[in-house]
Amino acid sequence: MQNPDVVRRRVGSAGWGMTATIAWRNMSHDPIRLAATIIGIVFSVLLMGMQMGLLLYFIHTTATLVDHARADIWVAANGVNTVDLSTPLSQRWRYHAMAVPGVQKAESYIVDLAFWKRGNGTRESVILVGVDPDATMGQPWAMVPGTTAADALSVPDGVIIDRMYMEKLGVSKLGDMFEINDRRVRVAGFTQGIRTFTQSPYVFTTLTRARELARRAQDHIAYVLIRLEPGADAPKVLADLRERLIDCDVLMAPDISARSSNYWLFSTGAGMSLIMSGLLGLLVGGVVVAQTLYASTMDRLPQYSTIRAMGGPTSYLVRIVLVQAGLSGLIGYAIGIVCVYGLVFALRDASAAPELPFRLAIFIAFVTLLTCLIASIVSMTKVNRIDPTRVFR
Amino acid sequence: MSVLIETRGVGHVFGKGEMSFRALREIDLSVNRGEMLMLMGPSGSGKTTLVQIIGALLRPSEGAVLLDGQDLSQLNETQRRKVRLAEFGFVFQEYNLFPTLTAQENVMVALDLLGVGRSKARTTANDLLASVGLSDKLHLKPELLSGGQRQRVAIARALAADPRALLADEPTAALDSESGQRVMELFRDLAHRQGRAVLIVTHDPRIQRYGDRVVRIEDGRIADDRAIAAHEKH
Ligand SMILES: Nc1ncnc2c1ncn2[C@@H]1O[C@H](COP(=O)(O)OP(=O)(O)OP(=O)(O)O)[C@@H](O)[C@H]1O
Ligand SMILES: [Mg+2]
Repeated sequence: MQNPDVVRRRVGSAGWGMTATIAWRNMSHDPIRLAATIIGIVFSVLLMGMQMGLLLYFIHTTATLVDHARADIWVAANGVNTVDLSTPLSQRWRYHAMAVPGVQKAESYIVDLAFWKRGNGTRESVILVGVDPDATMGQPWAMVPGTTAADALSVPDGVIIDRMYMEKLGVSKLGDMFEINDRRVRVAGFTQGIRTFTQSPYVFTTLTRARELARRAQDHIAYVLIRLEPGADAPKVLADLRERLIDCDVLMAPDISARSSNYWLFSTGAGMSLIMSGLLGLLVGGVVVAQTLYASTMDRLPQYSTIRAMGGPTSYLVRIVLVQAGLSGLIGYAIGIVCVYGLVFALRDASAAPELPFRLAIFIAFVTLLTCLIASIVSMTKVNRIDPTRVFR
Repeated sequence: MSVLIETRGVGHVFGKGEMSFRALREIDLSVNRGEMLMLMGPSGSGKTTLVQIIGALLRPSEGAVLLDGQDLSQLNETQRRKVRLAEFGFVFQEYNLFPTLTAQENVMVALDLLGVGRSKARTTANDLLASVGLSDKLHLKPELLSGGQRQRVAIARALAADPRALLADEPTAALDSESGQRVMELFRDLAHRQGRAVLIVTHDPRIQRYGDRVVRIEDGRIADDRAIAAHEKH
């Protein structure tokens, strides 16, 4: 915009430095209001971080068997909802699958519910996972160094459990004997950090032993895990499998993984409630920021009006408001995310351990700042409408 | 002395229709460079309205306002804002300083609006504050300053753009008489020594003798316009 001719002086545009000073002084001038603002944001970051961290944890645990099985394709009985709750399948589908071009390996896999009897006679429900000791897919992972899965499974009556559930299952050391469905098992190996969403621990064993314990027929399985030949045309193989395997669900691993997570999170409402409380946190934070920012802006109306009278643009005032919102957001986020990391660390061994990957932390930063921006709209509207003549009387 | 500000047939009506109120009519007034003009008159007579029109804050319903021969009433909003920024210094009854900023920073805000960089702004602010006799108060916030000192900070702020005209609405109304006199002496120097046009609205007859001329407004019209004789002056 050209300066009017009458203006002799060159008028430049203001920088951010002074507006930042004004903004920060507005904030620090009223420590109680500042504390309220920051606490509001910290609360919102905490709630968001924990809820989304739990959501991630649940998404991961509900599909942990799939995500660690290293299979490309899963074959299940028709209508499978989630991997942990299987329905029986006949082993013959495995042989059918092996005949399909593009299939490199097809292996049997059993998942079954069972009861574990502790030494004191009390029972605990567990999820039996049966896998051939020589299988290339579906093996227990995260084995505690010392024994391999194959060694552990070759021990007579051997089962592998996770260390996190030792107490729950009454296990104190390797070699301890228990009963599953009234048949003897021996703890032959441990994994570290394999959690279940249902809180019924996984008990890994061989296919044969799993059938015996669960009293299933000799040809019983729950899933066929398939590995494709290198360079195979996955959609084509999938289509062929679907054609040949009648009454079966044939799914790419990521699809059955997603199906398992969605089942727990959305058909049970657990996921929705996590998302809703995360959003609630956001809303509370947003409202607190909107209110304290507005109050602080109202306190400065005479000065803002003076700036307008002196010839300052409204953008100068908008900048002050924006810096205030942004600073509150940054400080609140910084404190909040440290708290979230602290909680995540403290809960790392809890039965539900929220996860906070770096990307989630960045996402929360983004959402927090966006919320602060939205919360500043009321104040920005206010400073936009300031009447510069009101400073006169 | 040459004319800096001139109003020609300025009239102003607030509102519309039945609710409208005529605040000013046919105001012909000029203020010279280096002249200190006192605008007086009863409450509600239109003094503030006139100052706002001259200061490009309010567009008059009728007539023209010339600054150095250029018609301000024809400019758009942004242009008028820039005229205010660069050509006028405003001083108010309530000093309207940022309570959270020091004297120096309050002046720096005005320089920031003009696009002056921070370190240059700091030295300029110090110079301006020194010129109003406040070199030792640079780092004090308004709450630690007396009313008269606050008003002098406000004057330093009004001088940031080195404006050709200063417009002050009741600048001494909140001050005790001694501080008021000090402030008026300052304004007189700004007019007489620095050649600025200074227009001061006041109720207070005791300070009118600081002016070179007194204009009385009554019911939105100029009722009297007379020079102050040398012997009357302070
Ligand atoms: N925005 C407005 N809308 C309607 N009427 C207004 C407005 N501003 C001022 N007026 C009216 O215009 C008249 C002149 O007001 P102005 O403020 O100019 O008076 P003043 O001479 O400065 O009075 P005072 O000495 O009390 O400050 C008053 O009657 C006032 O009520
Ligand atoms: Mg007035």
